[in-house]
Amino acid sequence: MTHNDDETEELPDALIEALKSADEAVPLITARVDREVLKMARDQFADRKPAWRRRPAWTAVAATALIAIFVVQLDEPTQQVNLSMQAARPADITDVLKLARERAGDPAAQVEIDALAMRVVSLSPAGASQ
Amino acid sequence: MNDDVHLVEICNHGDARDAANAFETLYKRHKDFVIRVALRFVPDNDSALDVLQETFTYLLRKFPPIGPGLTLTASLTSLLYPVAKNSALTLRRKSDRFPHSDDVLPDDLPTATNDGASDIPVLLRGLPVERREVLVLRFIDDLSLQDIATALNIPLGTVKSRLHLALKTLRESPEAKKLLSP
Repeated sequence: MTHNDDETEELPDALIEALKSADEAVPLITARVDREVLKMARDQFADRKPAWRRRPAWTAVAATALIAIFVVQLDEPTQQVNLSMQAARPADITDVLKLARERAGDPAAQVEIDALAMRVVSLSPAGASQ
Repeated sequence: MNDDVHLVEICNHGDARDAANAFETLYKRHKDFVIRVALRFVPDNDSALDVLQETFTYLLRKFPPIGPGLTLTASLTSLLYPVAKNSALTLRRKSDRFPHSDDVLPDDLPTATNDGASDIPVLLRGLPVERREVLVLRFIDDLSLQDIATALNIPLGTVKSRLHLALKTLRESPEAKKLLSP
């Protein structure tokens, strides 16, 4: 079968007009029908909430989890200074002073504090033996 | 179509006011098309109005309170056409008032006179129903061939061949020649 494959298999305008006039049963849509259809639509959509209130539950769960993490971080006490050699960061002079304040009057600790102070202010590489 | 896609999206996900407004726009835009289609299958305006309501009720049900809603993959008219047609045919079958026939155009079209234009309805009635339907959708409703294929749920090639045959008949008819002669 041969026929045009494109969208524009055309008819003369006069023929198209004649076709359209053959179909021109004048539709009369009453205001009552318009009202009923649109009322139906309003009723159907009446329970719709704004988009932000209709987000899926998992977003609420995720938001709650984020808030919980934030609150826990706020409540977490300041980490104690670890003065041992395995500390995550090298001890500095403020750590030494803090330790000295905490253990003031403890002769046994004083020796350790002195040693630590010497090591902190030493010009040799950290951790090197004195 | 793109604008319809946007309005459909609002109907799917908008809040009460936006969704109702979007639906109202869709209704006003397409109600004339729907009732025109309805009048091709039912003989009176009241029945066509029933079809109109039925068709838009169907469309409304596509927008449930929850869930993805309606996804438009073709023009909205290609969705509305089969709904209106089936609704009209069902209404006509149910009613004892109407003769039972699946003719695409009502039989009370104007009768032939001496001028070519008035002979066209007669010529249309002489076409096989399937070819006439494609011709009407293409040249009266201005649907694209792809939308016609979607609306009728037939392959694009079938639309083309039906249209070609309908046009061939139309062009070769004495009525059309009369209409086109100077």
